[in-house]
Order: sequence, then C-alpha cells, then structure tokens
Amino acid sequence: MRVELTQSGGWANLTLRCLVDSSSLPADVAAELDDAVQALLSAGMGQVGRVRDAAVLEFKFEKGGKVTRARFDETAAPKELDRVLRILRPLLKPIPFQAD
Amino acid sequence: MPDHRHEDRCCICGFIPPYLVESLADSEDARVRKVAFATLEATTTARATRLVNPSQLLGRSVAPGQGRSRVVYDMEGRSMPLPGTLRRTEYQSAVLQDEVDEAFENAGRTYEFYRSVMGLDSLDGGGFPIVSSVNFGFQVGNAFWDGERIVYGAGDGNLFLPFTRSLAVAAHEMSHGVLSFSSDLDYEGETGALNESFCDVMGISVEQYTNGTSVAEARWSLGAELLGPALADVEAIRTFEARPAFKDHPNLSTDPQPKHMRDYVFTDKDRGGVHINSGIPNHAFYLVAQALGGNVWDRSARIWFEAFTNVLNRRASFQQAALATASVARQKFGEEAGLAVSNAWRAVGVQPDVRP
Repeated sequence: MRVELTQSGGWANLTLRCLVDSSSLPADVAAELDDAVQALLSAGMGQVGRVRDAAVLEFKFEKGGKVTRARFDETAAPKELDRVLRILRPLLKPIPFQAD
Repeated sequence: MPDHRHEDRCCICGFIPPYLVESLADSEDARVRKVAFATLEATTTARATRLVNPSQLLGRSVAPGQGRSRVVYDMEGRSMPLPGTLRRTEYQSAVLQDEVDEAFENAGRTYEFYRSVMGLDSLDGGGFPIVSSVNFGFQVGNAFWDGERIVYGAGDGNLFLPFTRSLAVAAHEMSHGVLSFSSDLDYEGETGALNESFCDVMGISVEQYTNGTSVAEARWSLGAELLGPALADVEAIRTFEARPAFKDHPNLSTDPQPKHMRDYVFTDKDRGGVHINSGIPNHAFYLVAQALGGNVWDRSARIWFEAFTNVLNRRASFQQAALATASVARQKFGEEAGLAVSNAWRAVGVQPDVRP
C-alpha cells in the first residue's frame, strides 16, 4: 500500500506532504497503517461546522491497483485520523503552495 | 453588537447535551439562543474563583456575565474529547506549565485590548468565557477556533513550536469568536479572506498594543516565533508589507500571498484561498496604519473593528470592506482619515468609491 498525505490550510497555511510505501515500514507499523486507513475511510467526512483555521488533510491511498482519495478537516473523525497521523505526521515535509 | 450567532455553531461539540444544542441551534431568535446558552451555563458551571470539579465544567467554567473569565484545559496530545483536563481558571496563579500559562496570559492580553481599545467585554460584549484547550492532537502545528474555544497544537518541535507561544495567534483565534458574534463573515473565497484578514489585523494590533510599539517601530509580520529548527531560515509565515514573507526558499519556494487584486489567487484549496488572498486586505490595513501613523490602536485598528463588526454583512466583498472602512474612518476621524483609507484600498487594486 502507498499512502500520500498532503496537509494545507490552517493558521500557518504551509503545505506539507509525505509519501509512504508500507513495504518500507516495519511489519507491525505497516499493519497498523493499513488497519488505520481502512478505519479512516469507513469514518467518512463528518460535520466540521464553524471551525476556523482548521487544516485540511488530503489522502491518496493505493492498494492492489485501486486508488482511493479522501479529504478531511483536521477536526473531523478525530479518533480515526489520530491513528493514521501518528504514523504519517512525523514524515511530513514542507512543499511550495500549489493553487491547483 | 448585534448577535448573529449561527445555527450550526455547536455542531462539533459532542459534550453539549442534545437539548442544549436544540435550544441553541433551532431557535430563529438569536436572543433566545443566547439566553438558553447562558441559562445552561449558569446551572452547570461554577465561577472561576471557586474550586471546581472538572467533570462538571463541560467546556466552560464560568457563566457569561460581566468581566474577564479565562479557562485553560489540556488535551495532553489527544484529539478528543474536547475540551480536555482542566488546568487553570481565572484568578488562579500560574501552574508552571508553559502551554497552559501562555494560553491563559495571551487570552488576558487579548481581552484587555478588546475591553480598553474597542470597549468590548470579551468576544460577545457580554463577558463570554474565554476557553482554551492546549496540546491538541499529535504533533499538531496549528491553532484554530472551533466555534466555542481556542484550540492549540503543540507542534512537532521540528517544523513548528507550540502555537501558544504567539500572542498574535491567540488574538487571531479569539477574533474569529468576535466575528462570529457580530458580522459573522462567511469563511469561503473573498469573504473568507476578509474574515482571515480581520483576525490577522486584530492579532497584530493586540501584539503592538501589548508591547507598546508604534506603527513605525512594529514588526509587521506574523508567525516567526512558531517556526522550529527545520524552518529556521524562514523569517515569518506572512507579512503585511508588500514584500513576501519568504522568497525562493528551498522547500517552500515563495510566499503565495498576493498584495494586490491583480495577483488574486483563484484556488479550491484553503476554502478558496482564505489564508492566501487575505494578503490583499492585510496590506491595505498596513498602508492605512502607515498613513495615519502613531499607534495602530489609536485609529487604524478601531476603524477596522467598527467596519468589520458593525457595518459589513456576512457576505461582504473586498469592495464593500473598502467602502465600510473609508466611511467609518471619515465619520470617526475626519476627512483626512477617510482619504487615507480610500487611498490604501486603491493601492491594492480595490476601488472604495464605487458601490458594488
């Protein structure tokens, strides 16, 4: 499985991105990531309401030739997001802002 | 100030009982919503001067009323449930935990600015409790206003440091609260950029007021104190000046904020670029401050506050903001001030004398 996470918006509005191939991870971490991603995709977007300055998290998952994209406000689905972000957030690197 | 509180303001707050959400959200009358809110607060919370039981606080420790009331909670790295563990209430001394004490003190500085300069008793003019939750989530390099409170991440220590370190951030987030109780500007596209700009303007004004720095002495940029070692070569996150906050950076390239309408960024990112195109009204404010001189809180910030909270409606455009600020400047401070505001907007490509 390959996972790409792009974070944008938020107070600082810097764009951060990481791309992870789970085959490069320790087996237990790869299994946790796979499980956490499935839980996140099942959680759905959720209502974010009147949050101001929340960052936006965009995921692209590739597994078995299938590509799935999902977009979350950082305050949505906190439990499921938290599991994924504990693995991916330390890997985020800043990239230039792209309007498109 | 008129109360235009939104119907959906509590929709992410799972700790609020359903009957209260209904009371707040279903009423067409903003006053009813406010009274219901205050009533519940009064019955479920204690004044901050008392010893309190965190399990009874449910997000706020004091009833709305006159005067300053601050409460700080600690999420301890969790993302839910907000608000977290109670750490400090009004009249308590420092707890010697940086994030908690910084959030508490910065809430107090922002309260003092709004009370002394704008004549506003807290975010709603009626002593709305200022609630902060610190250490939100895992390595979160952000702060946000969730409709009820300010939520701070502690950063990852590499890209970002704890967001509680910035007074301008605290004032920015609290100003989202001020807007939600007044003009309630939308948070999308051009109007959203005005929303963001107002909060940046109040953020930097609170910083200058607290530090006692004049327009000429002030640092006109935001976010330097939040940048960790991996971004140590970045001067700031954004600037009010014409120059970009960073340029040709090896990772970030160049600050994308425009300072003129000809460079307006059309994007579906960031809710239509609310943190991007806010650079245009931010720069207009900077030009006004430079033209009027002195201290920003004497005239410039007061013009912006009055126009954005009492004149603009929730779908305002840049041009309407230009008209409103020029009109308020003229009424409050005379023709010369009005002309300075009009000229500033023209300089960023917005015509203040043509009604849209």
